[in-house]
Amino acid sequence: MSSTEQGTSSAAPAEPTTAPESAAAPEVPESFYYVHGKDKVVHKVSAGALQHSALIHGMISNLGYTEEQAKANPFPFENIDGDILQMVVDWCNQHKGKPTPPEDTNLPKQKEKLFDLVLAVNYLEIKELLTYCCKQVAMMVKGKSPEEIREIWMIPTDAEDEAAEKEAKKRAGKEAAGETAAAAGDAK
Amino acid sequence: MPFPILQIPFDVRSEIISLLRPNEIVTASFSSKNFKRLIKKQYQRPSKLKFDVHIGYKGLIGNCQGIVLSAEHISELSEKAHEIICTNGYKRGFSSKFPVLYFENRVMGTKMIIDYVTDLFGTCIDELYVDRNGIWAIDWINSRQSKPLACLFLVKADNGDPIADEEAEYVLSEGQWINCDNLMNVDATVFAVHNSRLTDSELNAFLRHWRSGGSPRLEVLDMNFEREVLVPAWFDPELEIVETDEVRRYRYRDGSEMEIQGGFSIQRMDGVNATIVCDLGQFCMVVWHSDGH
Repeated sequence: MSSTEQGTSSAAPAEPTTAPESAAAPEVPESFYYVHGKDKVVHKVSAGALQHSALIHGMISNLGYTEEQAKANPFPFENIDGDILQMVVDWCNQHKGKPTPPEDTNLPKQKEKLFDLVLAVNYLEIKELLTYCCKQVAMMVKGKSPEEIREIWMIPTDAEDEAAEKEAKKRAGKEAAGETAAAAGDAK
Repeated sequence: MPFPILQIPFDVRSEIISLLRPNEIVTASFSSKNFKRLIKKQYQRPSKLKFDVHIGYKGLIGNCQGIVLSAEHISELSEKAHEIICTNGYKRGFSSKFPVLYFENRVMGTKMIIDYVTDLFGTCIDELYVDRNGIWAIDWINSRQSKPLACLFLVKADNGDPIADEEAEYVLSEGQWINCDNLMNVDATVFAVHNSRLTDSELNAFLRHWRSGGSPRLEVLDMNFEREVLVPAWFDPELEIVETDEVRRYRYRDGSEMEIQGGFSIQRMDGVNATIVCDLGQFCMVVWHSDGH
Protein backbone atom coordinates (compact mmCIF):
# COMPACT_ATOMS: atom_id res chain seq x y z
CA MET A 1 0.00 0.00 0.00
CA SER A 2 1.46 3.38 -0.96
CA SER A 3 0.62 6.97 -0.23
CA THR A 4 -0.65 7.28 -3.81
CA GLU A 5 -3.24 4.60 -3.21
CA GLN A 6 -4.17 6.34 -0.01
CA GLY A 7 -4.67 9.63 -1.84
CA THR A 8 -6.74 8.16 -4.65
CA SER A 9 -9.22 6.42 -2.43
CA SER A 10 -12.70 7.12 -3.59
CA ALA A 11 -14.17 6.17 -0.27
CA ALA A 12 -16.41 8.79 1.20
CA PRO A 13 -15.80 8.71 4.91
CA ALA A 14 -19.06 7.67 6.47
CA GLU A 15 -19.91 7.74 10.11
CA PRO A 16 -17.77 5.18 11.88
CA THR A 17 -19.52 1.90 12.58
CA THR A 18 -17.66 1.25 15.78
CA ALA A 19 -16.51 3.31 18.68
CA PRO A 20 -13.97 1.07 20.26
CA GLU A 21 -12.60 3.27 23.04
CA SER A 22 -11.55 1.25 25.99
CA ALA A 23 -13.32 1.61 29.31
CA ALA A 24 -10.29 3.03 31.02
CA ALA A 25 -9.78 6.55 29.67
CA PRO A 26 -6.17 7.11 28.66
CA GLU A 27 -4.35 10.07 30.12
CA VAL A 28 -3.28 11.30 26.68
CA PRO A 29 -6.11 11.57 24.12
CA GLU A 30 -5.86 8.58 21.84
CA SER A 31 -5.65 9.12 18.11
CA PHE A 32 -7.94 7.25 15.76
CA TYR A 33 -7.63 6.14 12.19
CA TYR A 34 -10.14 4.95 9.65
CA VAL A 35 -10.16 1.93 7.39
CA HIS A 36 -12.59 0.54 4.88
CA GLY A 37 -12.88 -2.66 2.91
CA LYS A 38 -14.55 -3.67 -0.34
CA ASP A 39 -17.97 -2.52 0.97
CA LYS A 40 -16.68 1.05 1.67
CA VAL A 41 -18.01 0.95 5.20
CA VAL A 42 -15.60 2.97 7.29
CA HIS A 43 -14.36 1.62 10.64
CA LYS A 44 -12.88 3.91 13.26
CA VAL A 45 -9.97 2.21 14.99
CA SER A 46 -7.60 3.50 17.66
CA ALA A 47 -3.91 3.72 16.94
CA GLY A 48 -3.36 1.28 19.82
CA ALA A 49 -5.57 -1.36 18.22
CA LEU A 50 -4.01 -0.81 14.80
CA GLN A 51 -0.56 -1.51 16.21
CA HIS A 52 -1.36 -5.21 15.77
CA SER A 53 -1.12 -4.69 12.02
CA ALA A 54 2.47 -4.23 10.93
CA LEU A 55 1.23 -3.02 7.54
CA ILE A 56 -1.06 -0.27 8.89
CA HIS A 57 1.36 0.66 11.67
CA GLY A 58 4.05 1.12 9.04
CA MET A 59 1.74 3.23 6.90
CA ILE A 60 0.86 5.49 9.85
CA SER A 61 4.50 5.91 10.85
CA ASN A 62 5.53 6.73 7.30
CA LEU A 63 2.70 9.12 6.51
CA GLY A 64 2.66 11.11 9.75
CA TYR A 65 -1.11 11.61 9.50
CA THR A 66 -3.04 13.87 11.82
CA GLU A 67 -6.37 12.57 13.00
CA GLU A 68 -8.22 15.03 10.71
CA GLN A 69 -6.24 13.93 7.68
CA ALA A 70 -6.81 10.32 8.58
CA LYS A 71 -10.56 10.88 8.86
CA ALA A 72 -10.66 12.49 5.43
CA ASN A 73 -8.65 9.65 3.90
CA PRO A 74 -9.51 6.24 5.35
CA PHE A 75 -7.06 3.48 4.55
CA PRO A 76 -8.65 1.57 1.65
CA PHE A 77 -8.41 -2.22 1.64
CA GLU A 78 -10.35 -2.96 -1.52
CA ASN A 79 -9.18 -6.57 -1.51
CA ILE A 80 -10.81 -7.34 1.85
CA ASP A 81 -14.52 -8.05 2.25
CA GLY A 82 -16.33 -5.70 4.63
CA ASP A 83 -17.39 -8.44 7.07
CA ILE A 84 -13.86 -9.82 7.18
CA LEU A 85 -12.41 -6.38 7.88
CA GLN A 86 -15.01 -5.99 10.64
CA MET A 87 -13.78 -9.25 12.23
CA VAL A 88 -10.19 -8.05 12.05
CA VAL A 89 -11.05 -4.66 13.53
CA ASP A 90 -13.02 -6.33 16.34
CA TRP A 91 -10.08 -8.61 17.13
CA CYS A 92 -7.63 -5.70 17.15
CA ASN A 93 -9.93 -3.78 19.51
CA GLN A 94 -10.36 -6.74 21.83
CA HIS A 95 -6.61 -7.22 22.05
CA LYS A 96 -5.61 -3.57 22.20
CA GLY A 97 -2.73 -3.06 24.60
CA LYS A 98 -3.09 -6.58 26.03
CA PRO A 99 -0.65 -9.43 25.85
CA THR A 100 -2.04 -11.98 23.43
CA PRO A 101 -3.10 -15.19 25.17
CA PRO A 102 -1.69 -18.52 23.95
CA GLU A 103 -5.17 -19.69 22.93
CA ASP A 104 -7.65 -17.21 21.55
CA THR A 105 -11.31 -17.79 22.30
CA ASN A 106 -12.35 -14.62 20.46
CA LEU A 107 -11.54 -15.99 17.03
CA PRO A 108 -14.37 -15.88 14.54
CA LYS A 109 -16.23 -19.15 14.70
CA GLN A 110 -17.53 -19.15 11.13
CA LYS A 111 -15.29 -21.66 9.41
CA GLU A 112 -16.51 -20.60 5.97
CA LYS A 113 -14.89 -17.21 6.57
CA LEU A 114 -11.56 -18.64 7.68
CA PHE A 115 -9.99 -18.68 4.22
CA ASP A 116 -10.78 -14.98 3.57
CA LEU A 117 -9.75 -14.13 7.11
CA VAL A 118 -6.36 -15.85 6.67
CA LEU A 119 -5.72 -13.92 3.43
CA ALA A 120 -6.75 -10.60 5.01
CA VAL A 121 -4.73 -11.12 8.17
CA ASN A 122 -1.70 -12.18 6.19
CA TYR A 123 -2.03 -9.08 3.99
CA LEU A 124 -2.43 -6.79 6.99
CA GLU A 125 0.51 -8.53 8.70
CA ILE A 126 -1.22 -9.23 12.01
CA LYS A 127 1.14 -11.88 13.25
CA GLU A 128 -0.66 -13.08 16.38
CA LEU A 129 -4.04 -13.35 14.68
CA LEU A 130 -2.43 -15.16 11.75
CA THR A 131 -0.92 -17.69 14.16
CA TYR A 132 -4.35 -18.27 15.75
CA CYS A 133 -5.93 -18.71 12.32
CA CYS A 134 -3.20 -21.16 11.29
CA LYS A 135 -3.80 -23.17 14.46
CA GLN A 136 -7.48 -23.31 13.63
CA VAL A 137 -6.72 -24.57 10.12
CA ALA A 138 -4.33 -27.17 11.52
CA MET A 139 -6.99 -28.29 14.02
CA MET A 140 -9.38 -29.01 11.14
CA VAL A 141 -7.48 -32.19 10.26
CA LYS A 142 -6.84 -33.53 13.76
CA GLY A 143 -7.69 -37.24 13.88
CA LYS A 144 -8.70 -37.30 10.20
CA SER A 145 -7.71 -39.92 7.66
CA PRO A 146 -5.78 -39.02 4.47
CA GLU A 147 -9.03 -39.14 2.48
CA GLU A 148 -10.80 -36.85 4.96
CA ILE A 149 -7.85 -34.43 4.94
CA ARG A 150 -7.99 -34.38 1.15
CA GLU A 151 -11.63 -33.30 1.32
CA ILE A 152 -11.21 -30.78 4.12
CA TRP A 153 -8.19 -29.07 2.55
CA MET A 154 -9.45 -29.49 -1.04
CA ILE A 155 -6.37 -31.40 -2.16
CA PRO A 156 -6.74 -32.92 -5.64
CA THR A 157 -6.30 -36.68 -5.96
CA ASP A 158 -3.29 -38.08 -7.84
CA ALA A 159 -5.57 -38.76 -10.82
CA GLU A 160 -6.85 -35.17 -10.80
CA ASP A 161 -3.29 -33.84 -10.57
CA GLU A 162 -2.23 -36.03 -13.51
CA ALA A 163 -5.21 -34.90 -15.60
CA ALA A 164 -4.47 -31.25 -14.80
CA GLU A 165 -0.81 -31.72 -15.72
CA LYS A 166 -1.75 -33.34 -19.04
CA GLU A 167 -4.17 -30.52 -19.77
CA ALA A 168 -1.53 -27.90 -18.96
CA LYS A 169 1.00 -29.62 -21.25
CA LYS A 170 -1.57 -29.80 -24.02
CA ARG A 171 -2.39 -26.11 -23.64
CA ALA A 172 1.29 -25.16 -23.56
CA GLY A 173 1.85 -27.22 -26.71
CA LYS A 174 -1.00 -25.47 -28.50
CA GLU A 175 0.25 -22.05 -27.43
CA ALA A 176 3.78 -22.88 -28.62
CA ALA A 177 2.38 -24.10 -31.96
CA GLY A 178 0.32 -20.91 -32.25
CA GLU A 179 3.38 -18.74 -31.60
CA THR A 180 5.42 -20.69 -34.16
CA ALA A 181 2.67 -20.25 -36.75
CA ALA A 182 2.41 -16.52 -35.98
CA ALA A 183 6.19 -16.13 -36.25
CA ALA A 184 6.13 -17.95 -39.60
CA GLY A 185 3.32 -15.66 -40.79
CA ASP A 186 5.32 -12.60 -39.77
CA ALA A 187 8.37 -13.91 -41.63
CA LYS A 188 6.33 -14.23 -44.83
CA MET B 1 -16.45 -26.48 5.58
CA PRO B 2 -13.49 -27.08 3.23
CA PHE B 3 -10.41 -24.89 3.36
CA PRO B 4 -8.46 -24.61 0.08
CA ILE B 5 -5.00 -24.90 1.56
CA LEU B 6 -3.30 -24.88 -1.85
CA GLN B 7 -4.65 -21.38 -2.55
CA ILE B 8 -3.06 -19.62 0.40
CA PRO B 9 0.37 -17.95 0.32
CA PHE B 10 3.45 -20.15 0.70
CA ASP B 11 4.51 -18.76 4.10
CA VAL B 12 1.08 -19.20 5.64
CA ARG B 13 0.76 -22.75 4.33
CA SER B 14 4.22 -23.52 5.66
CA GLU B 15 3.17 -22.22 9.10
CA ILE B 16 0.02 -24.37 9.07
CA ILE B 17 1.92 -27.49 8.04
CA SER B 18 4.56 -26.87 10.67
CA LEU B 19 1.85 -26.68 13.36
CA LEU B 20 0.81 -30.27 12.64
CA ARG B 21 2.08 -33.07 14.84
CA PRO B 22 4.35 -35.63 13.16
CA ASN B 23 1.54 -38.23 12.96
CA GLU B 24 -0.70 -35.65 11.26
CA ILE B 25 2.10 -34.74 8.83
CA VAL B 26 2.47 -38.40 7.86
CA THR B 27 -1.29 -38.83 7.53
CA ALA B 28 -1.63 -35.71 5.37
CA SER B 29 1.26 -36.87 3.17
CA PHE B 30 -0.84 -39.85 2.08
CA SER B 31 -3.56 -37.58 0.69
CA SER B 32 -1.71 -37.13 -2.64
CA LYS B 33 1.77 -37.43 -4.16
CA ASN B 34 1.87 -33.70 -4.89
CA PHE B 35 0.85 -32.83 -1.34
CA LYS B 36 3.58 -35.11 0.00
CA ARG B 37 6.14 -33.22 -2.13
CA LEU B 38 4.73 -29.94 -0.84
CA ILE B 39 5.03 -31.09 2.78
CA LYS B 40 8.66 -32.11 2.22
CA LYS B 41 9.41 -28.61 0.94
CA GLN B 42 7.39 -26.58 3.40
CA TYR B 43 7.56 -28.40 6.73
CA GLN B 44 9.89 -26.59 9.09
CA ARG B 45 11.34 -29.53 10.95
CA PRO B 46 12.20 -28.89 14.59
CA SER B 47 15.92 -29.48 15.09
CA LYS B 48 15.23 -31.98 17.86
CA LEU B 49 12.80 -34.12 15.89
CA LYS B 50 13.92 -37.72 16.30
CA PHE B 51 12.25 -41.00 15.49
CA ASP B 52 12.22 -44.36 17.19
CA VAL B 53 11.45 -47.68 15.56
CA HIS B 54 9.84 -50.58 17.38
CA ILE B 55 10.02 -53.93 15.64
CA GLY B 56 8.11 -56.89 16.94
CA TYR B 57 5.38 -58.72 15.12
CA LYS B 58 4.43 -55.32 13.75
CA GLY B 59 6.67 -52.42 12.82
CA LEU B 60 6.03 -49.05 14.40
CA ILE B 61 7.76 -45.75 13.84
CA GLY B 62 7.14 -42.76 16.03
CA ASN B 63 8.59 -40.25 18.44
CA CYS B 64 7.91 -38.96 21.94
CA GLN B 65 4.54 -37.63 20.73
CA GLY B 66 3.36 -41.06 19.58
CA ILE B 67 3.31 -43.44 16.65
CA VAL B 68 3.31 -41.87 13.19
CA LEU B 69 3.12 -44.93 10.93
CA SER B 70 2.67 -48.66 11.38
CA ALA B 71 3.36 -51.73 9.25
CA GLU B 72 1.29 -54.82 9.95
CA HIS B 73 0.88 -58.22 8.40
CA ILE B 74 -1.93 -58.56 5.89
CA SER B 75 -3.56 -61.17 8.14
CA GLU B 76 -4.43 -58.40 10.61
CA LEU B 77 -6.60 -56.77 8.00
CA SER B 78 -9.79 -58.82 7.77
CA GLU B 79 -11.92 -56.98 10.36
CA LYS B 80 -11.39 -53.54 8.89
CA ALA B 81 -11.42 -54.43 5.20
CA HIS B 82 -14.14 -51.95 4.30
CA GLU B 83 -11.97 -48.96 5.26
CA ILE B 84 -8.94 -50.10 3.33
CA ILE B 85 -7.40 -48.24 0.41
CA CYS B 86 -5.33 -50.23 -2.10
CA THR B 87 -2.44 -48.15 -3.36
CA ASN B 88 1.12 -48.47 -4.67
CA GLY B 89 1.40 -52.18 -4.02
CA TYR B 90 0.16 -52.23 -0.45
CA LYS B 91 -3.07 -51.78 1.45
CA ARG B 92 -3.57 -48.77 3.69
CA GLY B 93 -5.88 -48.28 6.63
CA PHE B 94 -6.10 -45.67 9.34
CA SER B 95 -6.16 -45.99 13.09
CA SER B 96 -7.58 -43.02 14.93
CA LYS B 97 -4.21 -41.27 14.85
CA PHE B 98 -1.90 -42.67 12.17
CA PRO B 99 -1.94 -44.64 8.92
CA VAL B 100 -1.45 -48.40 9.01
CA LEU B 101 0.10 -50.17 6.01
CA TYR B 102 -0.49 -53.89 5.43
CA PHE B 103 2.08 -56.16 3.81
CA GLU B 104 2.58 -59.82 3.03
CA ASN B 105 6.18 -59.48 4.15
CA ARG B 106 6.76 -57.99 7.61
CA VAL B 107 10.41 -57.08 6.97
CA MET B 108 9.62 -55.37 3.69
CA GLY B 109 6.77 -53.48 5.34
CA THR B 110 8.93 -52.28 8.21
CA LYS B 111 11.67 -51.18 5.82
CA MET B 112 9.10 -49.28 3.80
CA ILE B 113 7.69 -47.30 6.73
CA ILE B 114 11.22 -46.42 7.89
CA ASP B 115 12.13 -45.25 4.37
CA TYR B 116 8.88 -43.31 4.09
CA VAL B 117 9.14 -41.40 7.37
CA THR B 118 12.86 -40.65 7.21
CA ASP B 119 12.45 -39.40 3.63
CA LEU B 120 9.41 -37.27 4.50
CA PHE B 121 11.07 -35.55 7.45
CA GLY B 122 14.64 -35.65 6.11
CA THR B 123 15.89 -37.19 9.33
CA CYS B 124 17.27 -40.46 10.62
CA ILE B 125 16.34 -43.08 13.21
CA ASP B 126 17.60 -42.33 16.69
CA GLU B 127 16.43 -45.26 18.80
CA LEU B 128 15.58 -48.83 17.93
CA TYR B 129 13.56 -51.26 20.03
CA VAL B 130 13.65 -54.80 18.72
CA ASP B 131 12.75 -58.25 19.84
CA ARG B 132 14.29 -61.29 18.15
CA ASN B 133 12.16 -60.65 15.04
CA GLY B 134 13.89 -57.37 14.40
CA ILE B 135 17.61 -58.06 14.83
CA TRP B 136 18.07 -57.58 11.08
CA ALA B 137 17.16 -53.92 11.49
CA ILE B 138 20.23 -53.00 13.57
CA ASP B 139 22.69 -53.27 10.68
CA TRP B 140 20.12 -52.23 8.08
CA ILE B 141 19.36 -48.94 9.81
CA ASN B 142 22.98 -48.21 10.63
CA SER B 143 23.98 -48.84 7.01
CA ARG B 144 21.39 -46.45 5.55
CA GLN B 145 22.07 -43.38 7.67
CA SER B 146 25.20 -41.35 8.28
CA LYS B 147 24.58 -41.08 12.03
CA PRO B 148 24.51 -44.44 13.80
CA LEU B 149 21.68 -45.38 16.14
CA ALA B 150 21.99 -43.52 19.42
CA CYS B 151 20.14 -46.13 21.46
CA LEU B 152 19.30 -49.75 20.96
CA PHE B 153 16.88 -51.65 23.15
CA LEU B 154 16.55 -55.38 22.86
CA VAL B 155 13.27 -56.48 24.32
CA LYS B 156 11.48 -59.72 24.95
CA ALA B 157 8.97 -60.70 22.28
CA ASP B 158 5.43 -59.52 22.91
CA ASN B 159 3.12 -62.21 24.28
CA GLY B 160 0.68 -61.34 21.53
CA ASP B 161 3.27 -62.05 18.88
CA PRO B 162 1.84 -64.81 16.70
CA ILE B 163 5.29 -65.85 15.48
CA ALA B 164 7.01 -65.66 18.86
CA ASP B 165 6.21 -69.13 20.14
CA GLU B 166 7.73 -71.12 17.34
CA GLU B 167 10.86 -69.00 17.36
CA ALA B 168 11.16 -68.81 21.13
CA GLU B 169 11.93 -72.49 21.45
CA TYR B 170 14.59 -72.25 18.80
CA VAL B 171 16.15 -69.18 20.28
CA LEU B 172 16.17 -70.45 23.84
CA SER B 173 17.37 -73.95 23.06
CA GLU B 174 20.09 -72.74 20.70
CA GLY B 175 21.04 -69.81 22.92
CA GLN B 176 21.29 -67.42 20.00
CA TRP B 177 19.40 -64.57 21.60
CA ILE B 178 21.90 -61.74 22.21
CA ASN B 179 25.05 -63.67 22.67
CA CYS B 180 28.46 -62.23 23.38
CA ASP B 181 29.20 -61.68 19.68
CA ASN B 182 26.00 -59.65 19.26
CA LEU B 183 26.97 -57.55 22.25
CA MET B 184 30.47 -56.88 20.91
CA ASN B 185 29.31 -56.08 17.39
CA VAL B 186 26.52 -53.66 18.16
CA ASP B 187 27.88 -50.17 17.60
CA ALA B 188 25.55 -48.20 19.88
CA THR B 189 26.05 -45.50 22.48
CA VAL B 190 23.26 -46.62 24.78
CA PHE B 191 22.46 -50.30 24.73
CA ALA B 192 19.80 -51.93 26.87
CA VAL B 193 19.05 -55.64 26.98
CA HIS B 194 16.12 -57.06 28.87
CA ASN B 195 15.90 -60.64 30.08
CA SER B 196 19.42 -61.42 28.97
CA ARG B 197 20.77 -64.96 29.22
CA LEU B 198 24.45 -64.02 28.98
CA THR B 199 26.67 -65.95 31.34
CA ASP B 200 29.33 -64.57 33.70
CA SER B 201 32.10 -65.71 31.39
CA GLU B 202 30.41 -64.01 28.44
CA LEU B 203 30.18 -60.77 30.42
CA ASN B 204 33.87 -61.08 31.29
CA ALA B 205 34.66 -61.65 27.62
CA PHE B 206 32.73 -58.52 26.72
CA LEU B 207 34.59 -56.49 29.36
CA ARG B 208 37.94 -57.75 28.00
CA HIS B 209 36.80 -56.73 24.51
CA TRP B 210 35.81 -53.24 25.75
CA ARG B 211 39.01 -52.83 27.78
CA SER B 212 41.15 -53.47 24.74
CA GLY B 213 39.31 -50.83 22.68
CA GLY B 214 36.19 -52.63 21.48
CA SER B 215 32.77 -50.94 21.31
CA PRO B 216 34.49 -47.53 21.53
CA ARG B 217 31.30 -45.46 21.28
CA LEU B 218 29.52 -47.31 24.07
CA GLU B 219 28.32 -45.02 26.83
CA VAL B 220 25.73 -47.09 28.69
CA LEU B 221 25.22 -50.83 28.71
CA ASP B 222 22.13 -51.61 30.76
CA MET B 223 21.16 -55.25 31.12
CA ASN B 224 18.83 -57.22 33.25
CA PHE B 225 18.93 -60.98 33.59
CA GLU B 226 16.56 -63.78 34.18
CA ARG B 227 19.12 -65.19 36.65
CA GLU B 228 20.89 -63.49 39.52
CA VAL B 229 24.21 -61.79 38.81
CA LEU B 230 26.80 -62.74 41.37
CA VAL B 231 28.66 -59.72 42.64
CA PRO B 232 31.59 -59.27 42.50
CA ALA B 233 32.88 -62.82 42.38
CA TRP B 234 32.35 -63.24 38.67
CA PHE B 235 34.76 -60.44 37.62
CA ASP B 236 37.86 -61.81 35.97
CA PRO B 237 40.88 -60.62 38.10
CA GLU B 238 42.74 -59.77 34.87
CA LEU B 239 40.24 -56.97 34.28
CA GLU B 240 41.65 -55.12 37.33
CA ILE B 241 38.20 -54.04 38.46
CA VAL B 242 38.21 -52.17 41.76
CA GLU B 243 35.44 -51.07 44.07
CA THR B 244 34.64 -47.33 44.11
CA ASP B 245 32.55 -45.02 46.28
CA GLU B 246 32.36 -42.24 43.71
CA VAL B 247 29.00 -40.62 42.92
CA ARG B 248 28.73 -39.51 39.30
CA ARG B 249 25.94 -38.42 36.97
CA TYR B 250 25.47 -39.56 33.38
CA ARG B 251 23.50 -37.26 31.10
CA TYR B 252 21.51 -38.86 28.28
CA ARG B 253 21.12 -37.04 24.97
CA ASP B 254 17.53 -36.16 25.78
CA GLY B 255 18.75 -34.24 28.85
CA SER B 256 17.66 -36.77 31.47
CA GLU B 257 20.25 -37.91 34.00
CA MET B 258 21.19 -41.09 35.80
CA GLU B 259 23.09 -41.03 39.08
CA ILE B 260 25.68 -43.72 39.65
CA GLN B 261 26.55 -44.29 43.27
CA GLY B 262 29.57 -46.44 44.05
CA GLY B 263 29.95 -49.71 42.19
CA PHE B 264 33.09 -50.92 40.47
CA SER B 265 35.59 -49.05 38.36
CA ILE B 266 37.25 -50.44 35.26
CA GLN B 267 39.79 -48.69 33.06
CA ARG B 268 40.27 -49.10 29.33
CA MET B 269 43.82 -49.45 27.95
CA ASP B 270 43.64 -45.83 26.65
CA GLY B 271 42.74 -44.50 30.12
CA VAL B 272 38.98 -44.08 29.72
CA ASN B 273 37.12 -45.14 32.87
CA ALA B 274 33.81 -46.85 33.32
CA THR B 275 31.69 -47.62 36.35
CA ILE B 276 29.85 -50.90 36.72
CA VAL B 277 26.89 -51.17 39.02
CA CYS B 278 25.56 -54.65 39.70
CA ASP B 279 22.60 -55.85 41.64
CA LEU B 280 20.49 -58.94 41.66
CA GLY B 281 19.59 -59.56 38.05
CA GLN B 282 21.00 -56.20 36.99
CA PHE B 283 24.21 -55.02 35.30
CA CYS B 284 24.80 -51.40 34.30
CA MET B 285 28.03 -50.08 32.87
CA VAL B 286 28.56 -46.34 32.26
CA VAL B 287 31.60 -45.17 30.30
CA TRP B 288 32.93 -41.74 31.22
CA HIS B 289 34.01 -40.31 27.88
CA SER B 290 35.94 -37.05 27.86
CA ASP B 291 33.04 -35.20 26.11
CA GLY B 292 30.95 -35.43 29.27
CA HIS B 293 28.80 -38.39 28.26
